[in-house]
Amino acid sequence: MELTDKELIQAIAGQQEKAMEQFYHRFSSIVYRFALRTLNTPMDASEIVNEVMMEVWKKAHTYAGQSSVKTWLLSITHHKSVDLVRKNVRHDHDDDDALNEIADPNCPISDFQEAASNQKYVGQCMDELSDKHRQVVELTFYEELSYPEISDILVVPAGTVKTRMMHAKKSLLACLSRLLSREDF
Amino acid sequence: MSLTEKECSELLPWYLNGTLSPDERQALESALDQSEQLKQELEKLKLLRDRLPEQENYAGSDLGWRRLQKQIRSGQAENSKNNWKTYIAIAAMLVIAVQVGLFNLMQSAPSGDVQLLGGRSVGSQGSVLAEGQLVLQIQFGSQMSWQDIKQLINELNGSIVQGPSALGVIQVRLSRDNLILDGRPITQTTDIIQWLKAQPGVEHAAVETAK
Repeated sequence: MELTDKELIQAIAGQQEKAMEQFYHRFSSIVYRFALRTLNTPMDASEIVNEVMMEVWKKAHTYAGQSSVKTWLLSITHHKSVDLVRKNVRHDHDDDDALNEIADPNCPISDFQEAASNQKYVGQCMDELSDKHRQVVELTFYEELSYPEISDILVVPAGTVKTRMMHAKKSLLACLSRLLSREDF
Repeated sequence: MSLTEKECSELLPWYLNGTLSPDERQALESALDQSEQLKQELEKLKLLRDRLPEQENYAGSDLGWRRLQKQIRSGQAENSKNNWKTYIAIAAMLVIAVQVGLFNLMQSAPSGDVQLLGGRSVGSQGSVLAEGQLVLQIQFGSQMSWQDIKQLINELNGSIVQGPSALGVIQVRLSRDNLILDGRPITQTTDIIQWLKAQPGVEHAAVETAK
């Protein structure tokens, strides 16, 4: 029988290996993708998956049930990824840097449709986002999390989550406009 | 609940993924009804969301699980090993405690002498057994605490002569005179041995020497 996320956590707290296996296969891809977006190297992301899952095995009993299991898990993933980034002494853009420097393309919806219809362009523009902005887009659209949940995971105020999303939106639109204008030539 | 245009614009991504609170959703829908610009922004966001590249699954999932499983099992083995270490440490402390306790009992025992069958002196003072005295060898089980051993030797009105040995054997000197066990007087050495063997925790009892 398929257990719910919370039932799995309870079983893991009871040190049931089968439950841990089910949990691992259910969530390892989510953890991996999220870690990969922060770390950018598959090897580091795999390492984070291992560390996060070990933490779940050891600390499932500390899960209070106030947030969803996915939020709790991604929160652990975020902490571990950030720790690893700090160890690697990588620097990222500040939250609000250059928000106003990015021109809002304000292009007509028809042009935008043309640019956005090319999935390759969207992927390319996503890759151009800073890690922090891409994280918010992915947690919103891939993991379908609310902004308060994202705020919990990233340990930033809800306002910062919204600002990062606004920044990401502007950057994506600007990027797509640029690619579209290049096509015109 | 009313929202400014900026607030509406900020909330659009979460309107799309369906995670806004009912109040926020309602306020945003009202704003969308009145703003063409907001509607266009929502359309652009929808297009973006729908064109986001597919997310890849973690290719190393099976291998990753096997690695974690191994760590989990080795962790459990490690814990179990640590538990054994704890038990061994406790056992070692008990042995030391028993030995220290026995040593103290020997120190506090009335001075006297014990003579082995060969006529050798084994008493702390090196002299011979008095009439009616005997020395017993008693082996206690590992589950016996120092308190249990002390209580049993007190019941015999005895004192430690030697031990415990590596095998847990203690030599106890006692007198048959005026010995009362389980409420009745005991005068025969065989009765003492029989009584000892009936005691829980006593694995072996024998006469070392008697007079």
